[in-house]
Amino acid sequence: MSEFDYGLPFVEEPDDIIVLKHLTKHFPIKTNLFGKVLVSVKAVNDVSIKVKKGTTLGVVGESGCGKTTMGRTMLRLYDVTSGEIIYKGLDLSRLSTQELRKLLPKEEKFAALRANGGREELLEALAVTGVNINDVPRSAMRKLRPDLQIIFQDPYSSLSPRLTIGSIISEAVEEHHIVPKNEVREYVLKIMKECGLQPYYYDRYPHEFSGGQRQRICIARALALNPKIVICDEPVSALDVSIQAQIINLLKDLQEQRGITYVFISHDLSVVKHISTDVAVMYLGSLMEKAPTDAIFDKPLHPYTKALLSAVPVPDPNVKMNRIILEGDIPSPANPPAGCKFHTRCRECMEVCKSVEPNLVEYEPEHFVACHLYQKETNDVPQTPTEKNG
Amino acid sequence: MAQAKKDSHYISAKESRRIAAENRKITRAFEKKKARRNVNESEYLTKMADDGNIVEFDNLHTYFYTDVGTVKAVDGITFSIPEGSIVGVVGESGCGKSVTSLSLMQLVQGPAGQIASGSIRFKASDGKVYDVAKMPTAAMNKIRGKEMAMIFQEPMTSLNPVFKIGQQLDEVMLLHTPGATKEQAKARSIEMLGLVGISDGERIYNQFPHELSGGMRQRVMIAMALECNPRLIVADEPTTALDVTIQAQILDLLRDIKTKINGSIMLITHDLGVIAEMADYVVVMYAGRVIEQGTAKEIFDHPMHPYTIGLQKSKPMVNQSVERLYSIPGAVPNPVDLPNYCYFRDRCDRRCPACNGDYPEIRTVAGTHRVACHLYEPEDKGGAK
Repeated sequence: MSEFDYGLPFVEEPDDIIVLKHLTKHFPIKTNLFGKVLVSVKAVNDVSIKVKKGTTLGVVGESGCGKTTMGRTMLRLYDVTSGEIIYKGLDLSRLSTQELRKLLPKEEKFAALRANGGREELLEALAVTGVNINDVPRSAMRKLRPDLQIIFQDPYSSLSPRLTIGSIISEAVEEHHIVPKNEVREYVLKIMKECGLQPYYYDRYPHEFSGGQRQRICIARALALNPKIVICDEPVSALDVSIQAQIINLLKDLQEQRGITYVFISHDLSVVKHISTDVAVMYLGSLMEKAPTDAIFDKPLHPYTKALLSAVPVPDPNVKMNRIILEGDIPSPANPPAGCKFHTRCRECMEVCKSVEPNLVEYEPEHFVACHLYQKETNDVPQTPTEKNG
Repeated sequence: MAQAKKDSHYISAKESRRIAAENRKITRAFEKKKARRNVNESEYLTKMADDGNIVEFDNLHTYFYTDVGTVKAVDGITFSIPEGSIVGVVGESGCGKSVTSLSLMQLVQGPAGQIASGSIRFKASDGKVYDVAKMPTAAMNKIRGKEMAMIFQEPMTSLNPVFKIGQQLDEVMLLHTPGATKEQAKARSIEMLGLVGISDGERIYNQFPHELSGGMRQRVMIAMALECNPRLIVADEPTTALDVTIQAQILDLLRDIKTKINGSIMLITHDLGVIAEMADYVVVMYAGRVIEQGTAKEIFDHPMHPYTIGLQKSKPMVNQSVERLYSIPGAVPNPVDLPNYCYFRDRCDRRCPACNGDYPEIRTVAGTHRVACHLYEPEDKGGAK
């Protein structure tokens, strides 16, 4: 695809565990008689992000900005429209040699290896290149699932009401042969204890628990498989403040103990600030800004990030925020505005914003932003909104 | 009730049937009383304790008579809303903050939910003071929507999907203003849509709720509440379902509206940030009781009750970072059989011997600041221990 000809805004490094390259996901909503897509919801548009091992990437944005779709696409719960999702450090030893061959990147230099490489060589090569999860055949995908887990937003609907807590957690453990069959119960009890669940909950049903406890069950279910990457899709939004703190602390503790990488999707900026090492701000399917947490909160660059931050109510009546109130609503993702997607609500909108979509550039080290205010060379002064460059 | 096996909250079928039969007797009496027609006004007219207030809750008890026992959702709360102010009620889910507001509107889901005792005094625009707790439904219908209006949490579910926005807005005016014509109602509705910041009211007037976004729906809800120039707006989590940017818009709007209609707002939310930004007075509720109340400054600068302190510490903040969040251990006690000591004792990190005694009375510690905790002595006895 020609629009993806330009390279990534960053350089891949060996300790990256997730690399998204121009990830795009469109949902068709209208097709013609022959199945050609006429209108589609552009849920995720050309998102490129990398995540280091053992860190937490916070993804924030308003509802409808595509953050959940991105999370689900990353788990291949949806197939991508285009782009690549590369994971490194997955446990590939569960796959057969045949399957490993198929996973090698389709580049010239791997041709020989693909033809007659041994299992060990294949594993070695794949550890460096990573696995594009879209190349994985369905059958092999199942074997990789334990490494990629998700915690859903609503603990009330994501637990089967007909299974006991024990069977909810042990179901996948047995399926993936994490431990020998006769040790499953013991193992599940150990995981439950780690997640702050009492052993006598084992034979109880989900309806007997409060929201916070259910969320712990969801976490236990995900962790029982020893995942490398956990996508947390708004895990605390449905919970009360005091319970939220318990769950956030639990997630942080588990990360320290097990070195899990989180992708933490949330609309609550204060929660994201607390748990994340890096933050990505999304708007209408596009990545607007990505930087280490402190940089985003201390020195936001993108006008949208600034507005988003200023809109968060601070629990202190003495602090009078200088609030930027955005006009209007988020436009429809089926028909996003041309140029920069935020220009319809942006205070600093220039002529160029209405026609040209800004690229994601590294404005400061590790601080990526997609805005025409920051498109020039790093050492240049950003353009003021009065300077129209139409 | 549930005494046999108190620990497990287990109730046998026989016990449950007995409770159900008992409840039917109680709730039927309540319902009958509410359904009476042509009740003499003197029965529910009363006087305000303080004339500067628009609403006074006085030892209000709202119970739900369920088959597993009586849930004391609101268990003796007393506070008032001064005229022209915003009172924020804050607490976790299940603490009874929504039931308090529904009691005020007499919208508690019957027949199980009933105002068991206490009174809610409301001063209408003509100077009459009504006791909402004693009012029959027919009388209540006349002032609900006209003198006091409510904004609900879920704009998605509280608008009727089969009627156009316009029809739903007009209904308020046509019901409460005798002799109003449809044209007048329409003009008023469009005016109100303009007031809440919807520029093309004419178009929205002819649309269905599903065609609008969440923020727009909430604006329509607010427009609907404003239709009859109410003196009191009860906003039950008006921004919980909305994004932060839209939340900022709506809060801004509510503040604006308050000055425009010169009314009072009772704002119910679980978000301390929203409370800090909006409220003049704050009421903190826990398990159906008020545990602390005072001006926003008092509550946020000098929180006293361990629960209020814990709540503030457990909220991550954008403008400061902590290594580890404070979390209040445990969970809210079961509302069916609450203990007779302080409900917060088992989660409290500042327990003292007095806490094993009776539930602490709410006491005034300084000016308007009141707290229900054994750690603090009433003002006349001289400050904190």
